Amino acid sequence: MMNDWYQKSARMYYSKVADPEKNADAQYLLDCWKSLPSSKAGYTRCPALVVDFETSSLDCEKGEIISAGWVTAENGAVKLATAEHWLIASEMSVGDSATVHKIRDCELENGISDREMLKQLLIAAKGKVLVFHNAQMDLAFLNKLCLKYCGIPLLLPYRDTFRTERENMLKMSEVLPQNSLTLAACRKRHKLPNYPGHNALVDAIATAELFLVQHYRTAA
Amino acid sequence: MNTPHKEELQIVLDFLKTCLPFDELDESELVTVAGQLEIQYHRKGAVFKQNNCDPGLRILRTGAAELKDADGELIERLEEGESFNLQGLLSERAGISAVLIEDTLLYFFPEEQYQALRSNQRHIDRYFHSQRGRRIRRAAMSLNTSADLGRKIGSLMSTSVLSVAPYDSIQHTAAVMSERRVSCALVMDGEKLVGIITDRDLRSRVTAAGFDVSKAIADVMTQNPAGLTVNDDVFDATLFMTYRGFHHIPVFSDSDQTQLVGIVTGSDLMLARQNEPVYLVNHIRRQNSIEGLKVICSQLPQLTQQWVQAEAQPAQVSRILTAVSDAVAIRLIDMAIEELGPAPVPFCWLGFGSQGRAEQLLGADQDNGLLISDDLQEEHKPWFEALAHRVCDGLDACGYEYCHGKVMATTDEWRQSLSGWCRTVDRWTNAPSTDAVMRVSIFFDLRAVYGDHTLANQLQAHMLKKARGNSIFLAALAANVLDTPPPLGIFRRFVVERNGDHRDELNLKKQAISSIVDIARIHALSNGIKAVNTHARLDELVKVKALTIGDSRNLQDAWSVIMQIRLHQQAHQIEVDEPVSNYVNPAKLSKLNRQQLRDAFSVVADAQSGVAQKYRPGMGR
Repeated sequence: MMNDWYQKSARMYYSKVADPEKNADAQYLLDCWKSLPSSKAGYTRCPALVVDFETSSLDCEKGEIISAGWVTAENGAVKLATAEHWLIASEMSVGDSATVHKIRDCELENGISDREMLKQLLIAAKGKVLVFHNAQMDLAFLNKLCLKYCGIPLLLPYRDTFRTERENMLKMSEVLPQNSLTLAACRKRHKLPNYPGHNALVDAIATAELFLVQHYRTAA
Repeated sequence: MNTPHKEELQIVLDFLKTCLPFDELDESELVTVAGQLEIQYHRKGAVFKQNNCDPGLRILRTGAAELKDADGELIERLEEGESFNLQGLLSERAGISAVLIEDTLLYFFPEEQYQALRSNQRHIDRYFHSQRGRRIRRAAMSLNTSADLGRKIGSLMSTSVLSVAPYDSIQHTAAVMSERRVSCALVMDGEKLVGIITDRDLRSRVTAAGFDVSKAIADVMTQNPAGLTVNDDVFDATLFMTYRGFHHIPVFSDSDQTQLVGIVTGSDLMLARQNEPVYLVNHIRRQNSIEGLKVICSQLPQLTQQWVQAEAQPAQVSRILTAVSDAVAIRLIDMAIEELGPAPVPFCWLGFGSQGRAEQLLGADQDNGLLISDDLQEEHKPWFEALAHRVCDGLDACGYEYCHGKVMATTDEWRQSLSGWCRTVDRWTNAPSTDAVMRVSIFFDLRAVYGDHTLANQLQAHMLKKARGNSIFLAALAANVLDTPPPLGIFRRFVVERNGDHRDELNLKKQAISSIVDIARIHALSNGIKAVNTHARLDELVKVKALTIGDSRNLQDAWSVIMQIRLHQQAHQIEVDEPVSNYVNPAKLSKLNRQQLRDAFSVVADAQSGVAQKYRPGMGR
């Protein structure tokens, strides 16, 4: 990956800066750094953790993660046994519950903290490459949490099914039609079943399936 | 600590609920299954075979696959929602593979968890078990004939083989063959097979040629005969005999192909195929006692079950079962004539109702009658009465129970001369009381089973003449047709029995099949169509433009769907040793079957309103 060398040097720097005494959660991220998957095969053959977040805003400065879903893809298979879906108790709405939507109330009751979610995610991500559809937004939210609870940025290798799809399509044509790279559009193009959107786990599984397809197409 | 929300695998659950047999699991069991699945994606052309894939069940989420046998013959084409367990198939028959014919997303259910589910859920296990059996059988039916062709000859060969030494005389050989009552002997040099000699060889090479019988058997035997191994099947053996003209095949061990283990003869192969309907009917003809017929009829439930499992179509099964009941009746009449002496005047034994239409299933009671030539004299009557009693008693003994409505040749009403019958028909059609209409609906589906068919033809011609254009009679018949609406309420819910032994159940025969039969009959009668089989009637009705092709096909499909469900229900009842009935609980049917049944009932409802408009215009239902 293009940013491998950058990530590597940044990790070297931040491993020294990190202070597990001050930020206990930093240890989970440092563990991930210690057991990174081998990048030789371009991360296509190593285990992947496919992740999706539902957020209350597209901007990580304005909103937060409402729910998170992830599932492992390994040896060409999405392992549903590893699927996890977490609802996050939103901090912003704590003092403001009267204005919060009903669904949000339920979420509050059942949700975990964003700190706990990050911890679970880092445990699941150990030894794996992360996969997102349109990684930039999810990574921005995730980075924010890492800086907040670990004191260091994420700096984990990742793959982006959105970017892979765009690269593949640009090999065939110059101009891409509008909305041709949404998760649903990509899946439709590859004749994958139509799933209802906007559930973090459903989208994570949907992305994982797209990841499998792209992997097989490239292999062929 | 919080646990992850596994129920969020809703997309997987929703899909599994549409797949047999997972549709029968409850929600929590489904969640468990979903959590154990792996999603895989494979390109078109990918092949799963013995050594290249992990054991387990593969469910097609999208795409399509073909199961093929070792010779590349198609066993089954699988589509979305269908599944296969390659190792299970391979354990019964080597060389089976699955080929993807489209890019395919599949749910893989690993072997350990899959087997755990099967051992915990009996109905799931039964489904997969019978599915595998069906596929294996189909793999065995390379020539689309009988399942028995796949049977290994090792299981039916005779292992007590008569052997002689090469230097034994021809005379000695013939003597021991006679003594042991066998038609062939194997010539063995120690442990090694060196030749074979058969009855036919002795006749043509010794007796006809005037060969010296004191000479060694080695001089006339067929040397080093070709053979098969214990793992070859009945089909291989049949081919072997047909091509080479041999009727005796030495069978060798599979591991050591010089070691003789037995011999298979043409009659062994015939016996192996005794389940085939043709043999069954022939077998009935050879019986000389009611006891013998009873033994054969007692096997019908198990045979029916085998036919159903081999995926015979309902029309085929009902035709076979009718052929069997015809054969039993014919044999009983012949046996009666052997004792009573020849018939004094010509007659015809008639089958009515489902037998008449060749649509019998298991548990049918007898509907029959006697049609006697107008030469009938008073003094002849005791002969026919005796005949009727012998045949009806015999049928009852064989499991075809006496008719509750007394539609039997033993009653005076159903044992008449041709002109007597014609007068009865006139009375029924001129004053169609409810009772008369009920009788007509049985009687008008008549077929000659035994005797002078021209009598039956004359009676039928009279019947059709009377019915056709008789609008009062047809309106009464139509009222009877409309009397039983299909058991489908508003919102397409099934209307089931509220109480009694059959609470929550439907009677598929009374509430569904009979309606279709009635609809086909009224149209046939009003159009002068002679056919009585429901499919044949519906075909004829299209030809005379009384029904559109679409309506006719819909009714035929509805008939097939309902008969299929009824037949599977009966096969299930036989399996669990319950009495065979026509009741089914729709809640216990698969989702697919329920859907099909609803569609079938809708077709019947539409066709009934067609009948109302045509034969009872302005009279309501």
